[in-house]
Amino acid sequence: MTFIDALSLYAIISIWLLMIMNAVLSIGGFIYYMKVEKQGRGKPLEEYPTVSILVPAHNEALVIVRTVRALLNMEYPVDRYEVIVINDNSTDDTAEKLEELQREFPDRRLIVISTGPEVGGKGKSNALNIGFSVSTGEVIAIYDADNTPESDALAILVENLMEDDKIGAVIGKFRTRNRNASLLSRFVNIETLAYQCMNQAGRYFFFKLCTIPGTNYVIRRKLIEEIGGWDTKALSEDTEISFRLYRMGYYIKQMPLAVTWEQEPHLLSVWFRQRTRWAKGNIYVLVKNMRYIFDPTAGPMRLDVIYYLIVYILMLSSLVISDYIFISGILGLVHVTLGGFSTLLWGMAILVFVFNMMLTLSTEKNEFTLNSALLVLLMLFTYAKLWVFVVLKALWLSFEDQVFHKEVKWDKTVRYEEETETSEEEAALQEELLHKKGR
Amino acid sequence: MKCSMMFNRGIALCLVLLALLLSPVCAGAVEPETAFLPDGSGDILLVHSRSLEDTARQSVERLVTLGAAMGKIVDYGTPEQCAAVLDQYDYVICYDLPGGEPEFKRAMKDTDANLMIIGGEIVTGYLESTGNSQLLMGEEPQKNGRLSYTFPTGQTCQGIVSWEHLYRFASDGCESGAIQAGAEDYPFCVQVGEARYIPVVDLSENFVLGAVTEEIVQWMWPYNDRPKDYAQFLVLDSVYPFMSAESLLELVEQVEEASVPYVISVMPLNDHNDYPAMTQFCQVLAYAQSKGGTIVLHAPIIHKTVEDVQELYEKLTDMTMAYVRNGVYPVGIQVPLSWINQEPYLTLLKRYRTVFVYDDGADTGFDLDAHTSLIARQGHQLVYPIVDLDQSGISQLECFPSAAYADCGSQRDTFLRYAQNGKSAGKPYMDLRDYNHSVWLNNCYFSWQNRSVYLDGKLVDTTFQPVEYDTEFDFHRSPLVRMSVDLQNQNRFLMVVVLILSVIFLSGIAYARRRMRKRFFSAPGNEKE
Repeated sequence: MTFIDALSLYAIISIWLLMIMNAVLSIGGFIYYMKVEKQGRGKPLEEYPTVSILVPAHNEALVIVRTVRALLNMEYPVDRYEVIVINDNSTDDTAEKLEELQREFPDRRLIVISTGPEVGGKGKSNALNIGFSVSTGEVIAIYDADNTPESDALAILVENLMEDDKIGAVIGKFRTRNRNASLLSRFVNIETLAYQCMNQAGRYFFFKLCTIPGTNYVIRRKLIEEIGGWDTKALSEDTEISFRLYRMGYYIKQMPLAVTWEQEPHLLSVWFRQRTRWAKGNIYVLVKNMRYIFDPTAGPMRLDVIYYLIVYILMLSSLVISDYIFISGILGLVHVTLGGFSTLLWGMAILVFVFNMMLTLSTEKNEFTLNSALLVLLMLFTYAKLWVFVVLKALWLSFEDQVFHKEVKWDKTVRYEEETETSEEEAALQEELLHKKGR
Repeated sequence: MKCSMMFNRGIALCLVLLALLLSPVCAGAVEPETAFLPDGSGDILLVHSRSLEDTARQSVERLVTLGAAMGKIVDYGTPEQCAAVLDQYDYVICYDLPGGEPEFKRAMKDTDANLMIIGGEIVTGYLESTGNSQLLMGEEPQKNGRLSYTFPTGQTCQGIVSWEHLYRFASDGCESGAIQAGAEDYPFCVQVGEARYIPVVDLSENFVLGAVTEEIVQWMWPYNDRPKDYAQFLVLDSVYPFMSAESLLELVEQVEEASVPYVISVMPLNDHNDYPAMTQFCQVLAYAQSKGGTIVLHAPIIHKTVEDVQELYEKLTDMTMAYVRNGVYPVGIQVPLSWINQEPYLTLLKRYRTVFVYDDGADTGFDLDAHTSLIARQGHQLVYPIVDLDQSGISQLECFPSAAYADCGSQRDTFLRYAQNGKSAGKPYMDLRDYNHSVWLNNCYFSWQNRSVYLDGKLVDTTFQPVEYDTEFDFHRSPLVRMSVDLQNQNRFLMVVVLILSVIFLSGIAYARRRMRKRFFSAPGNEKE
């Protein structure tokens, strides 16, 4: 057996393991979705706790009005929640837009904290810590500045948080508001539904494990106080907080009925920067928490660390190796003599991938179409390949940060002005609402 | 002034450097052209036009290969390269030449060589220059028609052919074949003056190649004679060492029963030739060898370019010795077409007297700049794939040694059918043991003479002797290899997993869609719709 054979064998085993793991998680997620849909949103509370909604906003003038309006329209007792927007060293007219909103809603608790370059502009974690310092709610809710949550999202999240003292946080589902903006945003939409929602649901279903996605979640105030706020060095502050909660003995619940719609990158350059930041943040958290793998007191979070390790090490290496062997094989530079592995299985692997994605899309309205199936197939050979470059770049940047002791910089996702909701999206939202009301 | 002088010197230096840099490139560029040009040393001269399209190039290659199959050295070149040496050949084939080549037409007129003109306009120029213009009676306006050709075995083949020029001549044509164009019939081959003329130039179809070959045979051996050796062999192709020995034995016994001589082409083995499975496999081969089968070694499948012949010598020696140690003596080698056109394979083949050639569909490496059939010059006992016109495995051509190949996997039934056809054919399959063979290796030499094998000059006993296999053999497998073997065994398991997953996914999708539909109709406001 040659070295190339050994590499191929490694790639084959890894890719199949990952694929089976994902398939199992999707099946678990699917069962959980169906269960939740049957059971409904949860029991209404006799008394709703006070909630502080934190919205970090750095140069978000294009999207902030829509977000704040949606937050002020939440079906939640108006005297029981406040909206705190941290206008984090913005240089556009975010401040003016927020002032207008304050004038428009004088009787609502809409707090705007504007920070200058001395304390602000240091990333999302820093902005959240600033917002948290002025918040009063027993429960903290986080929304990104580009979100349009459905009106019942907050109530659903809080109701679920209150049902068990061991639940440290509840996360909702997020959907792509601008999915038809470009081919890339269509890919992002499918990826979000499959990997960030369905996969999460699967992990929750099997292991009660979830990672906070950064938006559309609620967390108990006392926990934030206990852990001393958000880690300002972490670019993936959400993953970092999730790990900490599990170590404290709490768990995170996923509630797919609490939905927010957010703007996803529709340009490749924006997407690449955003994903690189996420990957870099996850690498930081992974390295920081690696030592807990062998610590029995760390609880189920160890599984999460292993999960991230598998994703970042096994998946990355196997994809890089398989692509290298594929390209080198075509160029005649290497030759694999490993025999007996049926090529039919490769075809079947692609089929499983498509079915897996389509299972996810079948649970959403207007997503299960022939177009989507074709997109999934196209995605496998284009979008999925980009992930390798994202992680490689993130690894390189992390290495640079370590060697040159660079300061962690928050690379803000660039927003763009959207047209108003299409009739299709409106119809989808209305139908969701009608259905929820019927329930 | 000084600056200007320095500038001029700089330019001069640059020019000298440029000249030095370019000189090897130029030398390299002209080298193949001057390496060999037709000089009368071959048996047949094939003259082709200067620029050849792919189809024409392939047809030239097929003619050159055909010549080598018949044991003839074919030299080839353009009219400019060949005009001066035309007279030094006994046989000249003009392939698809244009009309206006005065020097070449003069050479054609003056030569005593036998001429065969295949297509092109040169035939009109030739008739003019020889004063036979009156033979030309007209030209067919249609550009394609139906060729019907009857081979010496009595088999008649038909098919559509096309041409650039189809002339009508006032002279006799051959009776074996005719082209029907519109309401007219034209002879496939016609005598024009001292030359033979065939209008069809595209030889990519087997039946056209067969018809042209037959006409070339009649042209070169005009008194109903034939090339002396046109044996055909039945070859069980690409037999892999670790295939089921029982299955191979069963096949061998079936052919033995039919009393048809056959050849087994075994794949070479680079590693693991000490495994018990190899011993068991060689036992079947040794049994076949003692019962009338003959073994040839299939060339290794080479994926990267090999330039060092020593490396090939070593590998082939090891691969052959793996069989010799088990009492199996391959009499020759089976190689793809690319091996008979390219170095270092040509040098390697000098070690084998008997060479079977097969078409693997890959690039053949045929080089117009070589100007001669290098393999024919090496004097091998060459066996080419048959020109199979009716899928019977029996050649309709009686002019060169040929082999009918069928592998023992998907073509097992084909192999047995060929064997049955061979029994009733007018020209049965020959026994390769009736020929003499020799193989040189790095460390030894063996030869077949009068059905006996001599290893380094000493007679070897080839009677079959069963041996015991080592049932406790230690395979020395590394964990990685064990995993690889396990993976191979897991194919079926994985397919079942994929099937189960697919069923679960599809059921889930159906369930979710049903719920979605139900939900839509149960939502307030949608009932009426």
